[in-house]
Amino acid sequence: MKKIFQTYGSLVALVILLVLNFMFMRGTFFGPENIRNIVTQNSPTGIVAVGMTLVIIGGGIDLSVGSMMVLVATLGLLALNKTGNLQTGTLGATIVTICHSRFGWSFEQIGTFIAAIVTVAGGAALGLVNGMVITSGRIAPFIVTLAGLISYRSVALALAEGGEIRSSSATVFSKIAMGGVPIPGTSNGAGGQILIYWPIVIMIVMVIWGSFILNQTKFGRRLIAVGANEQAALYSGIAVHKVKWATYSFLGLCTGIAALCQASKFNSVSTSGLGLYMELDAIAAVVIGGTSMRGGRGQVWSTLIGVLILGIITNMLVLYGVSVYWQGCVKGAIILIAVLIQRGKTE
Amino acid sequence: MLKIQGLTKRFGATLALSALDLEMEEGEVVGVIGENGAGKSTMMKLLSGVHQPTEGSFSWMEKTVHYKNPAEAMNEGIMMVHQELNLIPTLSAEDNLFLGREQTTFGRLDRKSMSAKAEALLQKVGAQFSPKTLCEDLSIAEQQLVEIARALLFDAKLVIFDEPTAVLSQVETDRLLDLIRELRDQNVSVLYVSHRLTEVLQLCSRIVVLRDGVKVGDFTPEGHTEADLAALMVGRDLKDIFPPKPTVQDQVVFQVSGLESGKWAKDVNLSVRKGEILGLAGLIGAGRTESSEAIVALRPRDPSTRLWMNDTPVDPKNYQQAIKQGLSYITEDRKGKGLVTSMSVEDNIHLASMDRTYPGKTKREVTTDWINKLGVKVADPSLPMTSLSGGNQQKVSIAKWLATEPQLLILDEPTRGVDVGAKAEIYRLIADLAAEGLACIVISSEIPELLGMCHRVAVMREGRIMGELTGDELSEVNVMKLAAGVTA
Repeated sequence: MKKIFQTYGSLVALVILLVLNFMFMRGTFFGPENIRNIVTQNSPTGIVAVGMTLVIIGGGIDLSVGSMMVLVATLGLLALNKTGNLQTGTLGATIVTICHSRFGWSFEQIGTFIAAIVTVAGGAALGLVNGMVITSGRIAPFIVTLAGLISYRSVALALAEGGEIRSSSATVFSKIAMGGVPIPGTSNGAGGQILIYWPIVIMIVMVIWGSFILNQTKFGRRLIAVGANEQAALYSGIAVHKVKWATYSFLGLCTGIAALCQASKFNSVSTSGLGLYMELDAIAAVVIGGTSMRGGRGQVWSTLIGVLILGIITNMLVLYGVSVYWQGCVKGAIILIAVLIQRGKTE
Repeated sequence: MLKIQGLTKRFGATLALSALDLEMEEGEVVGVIGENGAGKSTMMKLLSGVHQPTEGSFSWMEKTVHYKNPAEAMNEGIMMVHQELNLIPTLSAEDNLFLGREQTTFGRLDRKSMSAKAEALLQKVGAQFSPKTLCEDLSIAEQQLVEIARALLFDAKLVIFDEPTAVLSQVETDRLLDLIRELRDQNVSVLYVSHRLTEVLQLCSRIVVLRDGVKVGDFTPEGHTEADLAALMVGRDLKDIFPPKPTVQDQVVFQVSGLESGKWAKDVNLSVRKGEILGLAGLIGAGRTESSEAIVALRPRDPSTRLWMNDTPVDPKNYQQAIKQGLSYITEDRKGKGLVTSMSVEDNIHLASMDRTYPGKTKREVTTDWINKLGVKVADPSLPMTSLSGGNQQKVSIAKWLATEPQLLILDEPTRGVDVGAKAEIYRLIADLAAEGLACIVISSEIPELLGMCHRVAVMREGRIMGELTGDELSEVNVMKLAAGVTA
């Protein structure tokens, strides 16, 4: 019984929260559009938190994700904007021209495609760098990723000279975040149906993928072993370094995807604002979901619940008209309460 | 099968193992005995690929091998069952079995097939628990079975046991020894490292004795007794290393009644007189350390517990209060909890008594007094703790707590990780302190040391005092019986 409560504690909290909402503000909260909006707003956090869960289960931490987001999004948009005006005769221009004439893609589509690749692959690559510095340099993950937190955003700021980079794609690039699947039987009041935006779909796919990795693969087993007892994992013949590389790289991939969604939503990158405090929100969601910061224990789906709990509470505060300034205080309290409840159960 | 030639390992200036030669046949059970620091663990760690030899080599299955890590040794059939078990607490028994050798179909774990195999293997080693149980929920003996099943799964040809029975009850020990005999009958070679001489005599077809990194004996058990094995291990007669027991005075310094602290202490009653040394025996996890921590308020204790110092009731709420009331506790975890190893010897000595003033004396003079009184071998007190040997570090720990002017001193495993010579010095030191009127409680897992040093020995099991032994009752067998919960 204790174990069941421990495992599903975050789920119970979510249900209680929904019931509270139902009792006090059913009209506003339970509108399909409000729910869709809550999930949409929190899906980048959700996507990052999937990777963060794996890193934390593996006994690590990554503080660099927020800054990494802005850097890879900046690189992606720079690549996008470059696609339209490449110098003729260069290799890049030739490839773009071939794609354009052979497959009938517009320059905007090609640019969006390249931006997506650069952003996502860039994230995975930076994550791998984090992992390699941690293992080869034997430096604590906290310190390595703290350096990332400080430096990645600085590079983005330098590239954009402290400002904003606007996408040169008028319609295509923004479709990544603003397109989606229509919900049958709903109306958005403008003659169309309410869309489940792509970021929501992507988040669900990532949660399923992350859960599969953790629970159904060799790699997941070894990740838990590394997080719970690195020495024992080593003595069991596990390549501990490679497990860490892969985990940080996976988190980088998640971060890249989240960055792509955010950049697409605004169709621009604000180098001082995008991804700010993302590392804290993602870690908070993992903690609320009940994953142990000491490693070796946790679930991806419960992190998703952590994301939703944070999102719903923020939304409730907005609906209640609580000042934005107080929201951080409430979130902080929620984190402490979540940890206290979970510790009470294990003792 | 196994042929070791001139195997040598140095750690810095310390020679841990010196030019060891040893041969082993298929299906042979060889016992390796020796004191702490004799080189047993080093030898095992060299064979299982944890460490690499400084000089010399060994051949396995007619081939000279140089293992860079445990995985390589495992792949060639050499497995080690570690003393501090190497299982992942948050994974189930079956997941632990297959860790590093998971079976998959199209990248997905093949749970069914692994479960079936795990069940069969665990049954074979006599496990009574479900393969799905998390390892953190298994007892130490059960975890050991998982490790042995793992050796079977990996098709090990040589299994090295490191002090496997140190934490087992008698029944569990017997079962383990039977299992090892079964392994032997299946032509698996076994290296059995232990300092339980009875078991080694019973089980092994050959016994190797190590002392200070050197092989000092290699013979069949016939015609040997525990006494001569012990003498060979220590290199001198055991009786010589214990000083005479000091005289006990009448005054009861410390008394605890009905100590309760979770599962670790259940109705524990103890009292110590002035000048008395009380031993606290028991298996690992019996609650000796935890009870002591509860006494000095390092761990919560039930409010119903009653404590007296010199017949005055006391109730320390935290360690600071306990120290003021004359209680002190020297931890078993010297490096982790006892000393700040990066700080100097002098600072460590004063660490627990920084508020104390010494009129007319400088701090350095006080330090020097302690160093001389306890015989700490250090050139300069401002050197860091790391420059000291284990025995000298332990003396500094004792000095640190004596500086708080305690009336009761609890010493938890005071000779752990200390060489034989330093052990004798620590025994003498404790006897001298008692003779000066200090009441001492000594916790130790080495029963001979308790018998040699203490006036009385209280034996704990599962948080309870199972009995107290004095005078003629003080024997290893009696202590073990109480510790293992054997009534007969």
